[in-house]
Amino acid sequence: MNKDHKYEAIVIGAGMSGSYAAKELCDKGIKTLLLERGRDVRHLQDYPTAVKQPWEFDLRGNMPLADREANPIAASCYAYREDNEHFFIKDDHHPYIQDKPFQWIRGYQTGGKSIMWARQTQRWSEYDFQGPARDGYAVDWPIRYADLAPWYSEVERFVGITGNRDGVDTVPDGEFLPAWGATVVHDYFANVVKKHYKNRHVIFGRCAHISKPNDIHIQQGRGQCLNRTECERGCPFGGYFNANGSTIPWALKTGNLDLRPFSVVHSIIYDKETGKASGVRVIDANTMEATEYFADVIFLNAGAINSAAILLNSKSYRFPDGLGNDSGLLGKYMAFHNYRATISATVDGFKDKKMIGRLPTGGYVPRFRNVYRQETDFLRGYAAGFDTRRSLRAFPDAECWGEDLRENILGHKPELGPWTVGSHMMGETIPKEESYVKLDDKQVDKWGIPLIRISMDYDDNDEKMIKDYHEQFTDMFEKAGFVDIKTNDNGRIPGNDIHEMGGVRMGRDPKTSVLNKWNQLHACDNVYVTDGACMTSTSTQNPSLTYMAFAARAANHAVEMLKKSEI
Amino acid sequence: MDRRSAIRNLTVAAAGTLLWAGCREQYVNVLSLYNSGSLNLDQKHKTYLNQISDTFLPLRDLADGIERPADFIIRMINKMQAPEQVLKFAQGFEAYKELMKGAQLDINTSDPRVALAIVKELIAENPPLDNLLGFVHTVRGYSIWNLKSSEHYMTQYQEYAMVPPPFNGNAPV
Repeated sequence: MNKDHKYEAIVIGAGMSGSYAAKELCDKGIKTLLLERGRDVRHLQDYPTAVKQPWEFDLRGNMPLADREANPIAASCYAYREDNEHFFIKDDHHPYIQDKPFQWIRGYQTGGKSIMWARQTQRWSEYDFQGPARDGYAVDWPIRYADLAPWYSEVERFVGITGNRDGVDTVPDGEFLPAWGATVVHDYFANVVKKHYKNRHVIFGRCAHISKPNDIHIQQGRGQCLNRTECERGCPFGGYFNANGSTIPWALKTGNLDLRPFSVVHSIIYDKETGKASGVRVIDANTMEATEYFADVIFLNAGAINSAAILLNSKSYRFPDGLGNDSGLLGKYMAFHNYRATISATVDGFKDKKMIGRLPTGGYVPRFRNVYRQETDFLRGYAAGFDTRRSLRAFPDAECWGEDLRENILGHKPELGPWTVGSHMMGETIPKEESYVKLDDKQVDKWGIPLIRISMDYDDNDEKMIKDYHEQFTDMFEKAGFVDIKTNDNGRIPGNDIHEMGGVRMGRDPKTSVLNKWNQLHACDNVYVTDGACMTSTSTQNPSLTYMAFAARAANHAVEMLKKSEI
Repeated sequence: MDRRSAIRNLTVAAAGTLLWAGCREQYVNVLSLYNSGSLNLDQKHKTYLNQISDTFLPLRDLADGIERPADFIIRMINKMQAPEQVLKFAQGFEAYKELMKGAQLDINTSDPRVALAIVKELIAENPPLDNLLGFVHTVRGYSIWNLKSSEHYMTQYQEYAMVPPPFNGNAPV
């Protein structure tokens, strides 16, 4: 064994959750290797468009047709634009097989998708963890909200989350920085909903932005969010959380972290003598050179699908079907979020009010269906975004030409149009055994690793949920007096929500799950999985905050176990 | 006076001030500048396209903070349109040149109002959308986009600032 390749911990994947695990391990003095299959994106230096003005982009933010045609998967993502396409994986660079249509949006670099994420950070509640057991789908979560709550708090304090203490039990309050103010229409709608509905709430979305930096943020070199809303380019002020400007440099500063980009993990090495994982096999993304690194504990945070795939590819005499796969469920029970339904309307009023400035977040309607009891003909429920705006009216008149056209555009300042509102559904989907990630028997990628096959789809439950969302929000909008209400099913393909989860699910019973309550493989307890792969169910909240809380909790557990020599 | 008479009068007035045969520019066919889905205009055609854009949306006096429209239009056409659309644009451009030539107009020296009157007449006849009409609408549309996405318009008219003022969702109009 190359002693230079021996660490106490290896973390696979330098994205949202892996970087948080690395930060926690390094803080506790654990010598850690952080592996990333993509390039190193350094905070500030590698945000080439961060301060470019809109008019400085050749295509004004749009992607060329040839690029969109060559990358229909990446181009399907709302955030894939001229100003940040360099953070997305091009379709043909890392191919996979869609047994059913699946738009897998990826960002292979240090920081992963934390550079381009939507930054919404609502906590899960007790109702979410109780859900599978109460409603008889998936398996019971091996933990409850109280197990994760302190770790939510720790992550929130470090990351910086703005929000109001709303006292809503479906999205518990946390360690919040001051929230920005809402619009007059948001407040109006919130009051209408409060008046007409029991247990429905319209709150302001908690988000990973620093509205007022605390010492911990200043220590990270991060400052106040300036509401530029150019977040997906990378923020030169560190105003929003990404791993590049926060957890990774923090971990590096401890002196305990080695960061190795361009490291494609082939598999995890299992030592039959010790019954533990002993290291990882890595292929250099550029030179194709194979290397092995060794550690006492391994954190797998490659992203839900890749984490499941790495375990499936980690075959040994003891685990012929993949590391930890005694149950045969590895790669199964995948799920995602249903973002297909939207609604919009016009507000007939508040014409004496307007918005000044911009906001990096918006309204949020926590789940209200089937929370306290089963009340519909579908399982579970949905949360929803809720946005309000008053935009400038579009000009010019289609008939104008020449001086008339010029006058129409430049003869006056653009006029305010009416207030408009919009909402999008964020529905829970049910994990099913037939929703899977698996490895192809024959085809391999350029590093010799089997291609990943993905299959998941909507079902009747999702269709009913869309219908209910449209009905309920139409009702709420009508009660608010909104007009010109339009509902839409955008037909989004699974994966486009960028919230794929499961495949290495947690549970109490090794026969029906892969991970235990500490995110350890039941059958190989020095391997922890704390990204989206660990999720037993999906609930409705944007999941990144929960992944980081899991990573923090599991990392601290691993440190305890290492100190006791129990793993 | 009807539209046709107006155009005729404008044309006569414009022609009367010019020596047509001596000053008309010689242009290659635009289609010769099309290659494999890309239109690479020579300087003469760029100037011509700038003139057309300025005819549809006169901005020549506002050069600061607005990109020259021909550069923007051709870049958008080449990058954002399918090869067959680029070809149609080139064909439309050539048809536009022919239209002006038929009216004995020199784009560099004639009163732009004359060219505009011809274009408006063309649109008023409500013909099927052919390459010529498509060209006209495309140039107009991209000219507007070029203006509205310019530094000049965004800062002077939309009050855009990369760092906006503090948010107020309840500000008086």
